[in-house]
Amino acid sequence: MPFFAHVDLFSEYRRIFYAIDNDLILANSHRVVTYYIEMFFAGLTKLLVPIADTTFYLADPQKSTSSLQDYFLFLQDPYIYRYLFLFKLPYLLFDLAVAGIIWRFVDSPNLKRIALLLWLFNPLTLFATYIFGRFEVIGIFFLALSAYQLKLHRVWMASIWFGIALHCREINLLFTPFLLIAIIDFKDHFIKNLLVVAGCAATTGVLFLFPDWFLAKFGDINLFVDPDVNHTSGTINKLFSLGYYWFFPVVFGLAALAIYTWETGNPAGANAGHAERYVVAAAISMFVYFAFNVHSVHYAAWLVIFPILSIQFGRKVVLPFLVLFGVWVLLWLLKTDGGVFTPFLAAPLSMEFVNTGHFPTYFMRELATEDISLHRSIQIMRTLFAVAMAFFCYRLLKRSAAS
Amino acid sequence: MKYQAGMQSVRDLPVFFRSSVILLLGLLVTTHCHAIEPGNAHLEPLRVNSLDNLGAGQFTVSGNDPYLVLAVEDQTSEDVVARDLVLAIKVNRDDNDVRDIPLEIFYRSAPSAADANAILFDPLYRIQFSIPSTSDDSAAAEDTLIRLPVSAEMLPLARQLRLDIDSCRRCSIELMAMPVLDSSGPEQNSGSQPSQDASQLDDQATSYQNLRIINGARAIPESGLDVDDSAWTLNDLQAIGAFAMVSGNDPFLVSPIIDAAIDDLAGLLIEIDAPNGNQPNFDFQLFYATEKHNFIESASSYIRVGSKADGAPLLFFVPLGFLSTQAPSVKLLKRLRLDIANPVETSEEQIWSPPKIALVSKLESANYQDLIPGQLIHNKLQRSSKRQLLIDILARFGEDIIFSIFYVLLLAGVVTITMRKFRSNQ
Repeated sequence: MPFFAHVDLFSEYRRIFYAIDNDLILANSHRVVTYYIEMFFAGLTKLLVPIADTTFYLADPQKSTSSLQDYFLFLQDPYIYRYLFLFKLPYLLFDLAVAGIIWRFVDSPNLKRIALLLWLFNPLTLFATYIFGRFEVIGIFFLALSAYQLKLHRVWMASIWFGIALHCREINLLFTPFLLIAIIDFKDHFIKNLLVVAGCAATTGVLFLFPDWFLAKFGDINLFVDPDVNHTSGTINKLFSLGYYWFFPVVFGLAALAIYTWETGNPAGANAGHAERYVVAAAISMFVYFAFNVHSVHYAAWLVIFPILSIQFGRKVVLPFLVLFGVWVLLWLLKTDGGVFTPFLAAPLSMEFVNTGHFPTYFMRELATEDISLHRSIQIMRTLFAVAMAFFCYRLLKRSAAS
Repeated sequence: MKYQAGMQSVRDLPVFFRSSVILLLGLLVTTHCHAIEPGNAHLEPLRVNSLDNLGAGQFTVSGNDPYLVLAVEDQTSEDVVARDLVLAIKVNRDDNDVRDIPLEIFYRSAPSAADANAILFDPLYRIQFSIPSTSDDSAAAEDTLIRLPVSAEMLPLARQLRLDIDSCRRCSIELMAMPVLDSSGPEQNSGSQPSQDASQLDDQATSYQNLRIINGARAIPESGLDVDDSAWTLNDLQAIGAFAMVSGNDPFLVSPIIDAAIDDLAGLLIEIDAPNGNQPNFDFQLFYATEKHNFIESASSYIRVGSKADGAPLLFFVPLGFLSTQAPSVKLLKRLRLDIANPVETSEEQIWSPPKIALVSKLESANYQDLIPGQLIHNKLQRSSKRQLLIDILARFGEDIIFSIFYVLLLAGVVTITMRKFRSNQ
């Protein structure tokens, strides 16, 4: 925990300290749940570390992503390990909380051990949380909690926790249709279902919109927003004009998944419960998304929680997980850059690890041939990654007799 | 037709004129043959690099890093103390080239037979100077004889020299004679003290510019060594009495020549009066030139220090011990450059004093550990590896010993509890 980090972790907490030091705690609506959780631990850090005025100095809050120069200055701080431990402490607590939910979610004693081992020792979340130092696990916790509430048939609570999860990571918005469809109980009357789904949608919607409204009314939500960067309308135009090759395949995939979520709830068919439909659909939706997007290395942490929860419903995911882990490591060994899947992340231990080279350089020098270039190798591994996810989807869609 | 007409016109020249031309051609051939007669065959260097040897001591630059290695003959008797190194060469430059030509002479003792082919010369023993730019032939004529003082320390070493011609791709060299040690030079220039100050030699070396004799490096005494703070060179800083005001976007100060031995250097103690104002912190970038490089980004330290509320001078210690302990190590600290990395704006509030810098010896470094800025990055060419890297990492744990102990106890506690749970379940 205290010995590895990426520059993003410093950027994240530099924003937090800026907000605290300048009494701007109502001035940001971006990932607001994560923001306030981190703010609490930043306050704890202020109690336990003698912080120099210069450590988190941020000259321009609109350009809050740290330069490498500022990050390296931070790494030289004599209390660097203390900082990193305290900054990642909320992630550890949420990590353990997710483990607790998994323990409760899976009923079978043997299966819950397998699920717990997969969660605690999978390289994706370990890397994202403790090596890279990202907050993905906070959002994952609220997603897992919403799934657990669905298992207990508490649909209102599920929608509340899901609404909170939306303020941890924007990607969680992707799961909304599956949650709402999974809430439908085909045994109930149409009107009741309509009221319940509308109520849950309203609950989630209000929770989703409330911080923006509240903070806009009492604060200034433009903190840490660069006014020179305006990509909202441009991004949407690009989406619908085939500017992103992956957009329509993802839409089709998610639409098919929504139909699946609907169909598996039919009492005359699979008759799956709320939680099963939500968990399986959400798990596969991530695979659909990642089949076309391999952006940041730590995003892969989003792939883990729902497949693990699906163990409760008899899905055999151990082998697909092992294959996925292996392919993910190989893919990012090849696809990395100087600051990601390299000893750079160990720079808190020693700056000697910066610029020590990375695997692609070695590959190009020692292993690459004219036929198997680095670029082609990355494409091959991306294909294998997609194959591993397809295998995973097959295992998730295949219901065992027990389920 | 024109060719035939031309030949016809030559035949029509008077016999006397034709005879004169033949005689002149004969004279030229004779002169040329004299130039390459066996009498000049001794002008052979021991080694040549990036120079085309045209024979008779003539060489033209043909690549990067051109140099000659020459044997030095001592023509003096043993009781003579003051000696000069006399090198008779002529450096010819392109007609349009009016720049100074920097030359560098490395010297060493005669190597043993086993090391006869070694090309390494110690960078701590060398003479740098420039042949000044010229627009007529008079100065070029002076270039033919280079007479440089040799101190007593240099004497045993000056048995072989390496002559480097820097930054002149269109130059040629004419070696008039092999270098010798001669006693005819003024005595006051040779002595037991190493010559560090070029100004002492001005009277005798008026033909050369930037003359600098590096005769080993100054050792850093245990009490430290102050950098002369009266002769800093300013860039984008306007001198106002003893202070300097920022006047441009790239303000920095360059120290006078230091030439200190790095072996005993623990770091630099820097004291500087910063501007009074609202600036919460000051960023500096410290460059250090060594015998291997001048001021470069990858050999610099970036420092951030907080401003003093009471307006007291900023005082901090920059550890540079790694220059001698990590590979590739360097030996000579030539000069320093201190950049003011974050001047808020060009204004009258940005007034600085020239820094007071002291070179701190390793024996005294323990006294200054508290002055190391919390935010300090070394962009360095040196790397620690293997055992040293492990030691450095462990040393970092010691910087926050309370947390390190807590963390070890935490890990031990978690492992113990896990093991007990595991055993109880068995």
